[in-house]
Amino acid sequence: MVRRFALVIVLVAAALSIIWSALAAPRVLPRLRIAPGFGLQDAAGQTVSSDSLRGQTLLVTFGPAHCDDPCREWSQLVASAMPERGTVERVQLIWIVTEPATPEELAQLQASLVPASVPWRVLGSDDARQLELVLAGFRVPRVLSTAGSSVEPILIIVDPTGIVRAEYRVAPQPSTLAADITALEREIRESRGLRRYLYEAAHLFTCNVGGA
Amino acid sequence: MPVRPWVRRLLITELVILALLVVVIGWFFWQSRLARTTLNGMLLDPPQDVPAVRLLGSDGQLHAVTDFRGKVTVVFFGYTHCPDVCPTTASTITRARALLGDQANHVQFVFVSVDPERDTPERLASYLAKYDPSYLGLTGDEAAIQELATAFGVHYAKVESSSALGYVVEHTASTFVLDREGRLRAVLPFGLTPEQVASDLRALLK
Repeated sequence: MVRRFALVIVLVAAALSIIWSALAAPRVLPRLRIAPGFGLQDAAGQTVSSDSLRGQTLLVTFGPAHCDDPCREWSQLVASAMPERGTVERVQLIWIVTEPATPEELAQLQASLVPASVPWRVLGSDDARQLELVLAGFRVPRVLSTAGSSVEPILIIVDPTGIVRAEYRVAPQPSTLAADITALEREIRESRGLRRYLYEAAHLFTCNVGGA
Repeated sequence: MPVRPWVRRLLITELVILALLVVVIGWFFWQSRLARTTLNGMLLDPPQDVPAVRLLGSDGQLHAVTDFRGKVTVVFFGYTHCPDVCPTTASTITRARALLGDQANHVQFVFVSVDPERDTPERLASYLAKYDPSYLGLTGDEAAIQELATAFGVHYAKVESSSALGYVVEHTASTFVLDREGRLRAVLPFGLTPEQVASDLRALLK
């Protein structure tokens, strides 16, 4: 009787440990697709390439060179969604101007954006074709109207290897954004050795509809 | 001593649950293996479509990087005057293919020039023949190359240099692997050993 009871306890413990392992599987952000390569200018007129930003987590958003009301509202939403300073590491907040612009215009825009916990870095180009390729590569949604084409708000997380990991069509809650960035940072930090298999297995079961 | 019925039922239930969990976890890890999650490079799952931009090949014909369906295609963006990264990558791929043995016939290496001004089809052909005559170079229209490079996340820019080369071209050093359906499946960072590359290619050939 005692032996059978012990067996039952062992089986229950084994089942619980397996269930716990499944529940404790790491949370991962899906690998949606490769972020486009680019070489844009910053507000100081320096070239900033996609390669030079590798190794950092990027929060990328888009807007016009001259910030109108919707643009200011979006920058306010993104700024308020940013986690507090010090809670996330190596994050850059990038604003890509969607129309040809000079460094002076980029500097003016950078000064007019609502300050966030991470400083804005405004990037642009005077090469309309390159901008088109970058916007298409990031799959930035467009609105066509009689006044021309404009971009819809979007915030994108690009991981340090240059892979798009999340997209938000509406400004996320600060807690959501912080949780997503923290999950990404944890994966980068912990996805080594045997734990890499755990993370890769978690990717298998992560809903991913944006890669194709 | 007879076993009480409720103990027997509990035991059977436990064993059934445990067996189910073992099956689920076994399937989970089997799928992990099938999904080639052990790459040294970065796996893209699901794979990503790439534009079928047609460029002039080192064989004089028009080709797109997606033309080699049925084979695994290894794509690298470089240029023939490149002093370091390009020869290293071409050598690594060549040694990796050698490690693959007969399977190497199912791997096509495509070298897309980011310096179309100097890289003519003839120059590309002669450069790549030093590594393997089956390698294909692509060059041509700057705008088409830029479109393809951007889609692969590749940046390149001409930088004036005082060296005898005249100018150099800074470019992304990663290598890209397309699966047998011509979709981008993996990104291999610069610096992998031939053994690591061969291992990844072997996995992607399965």
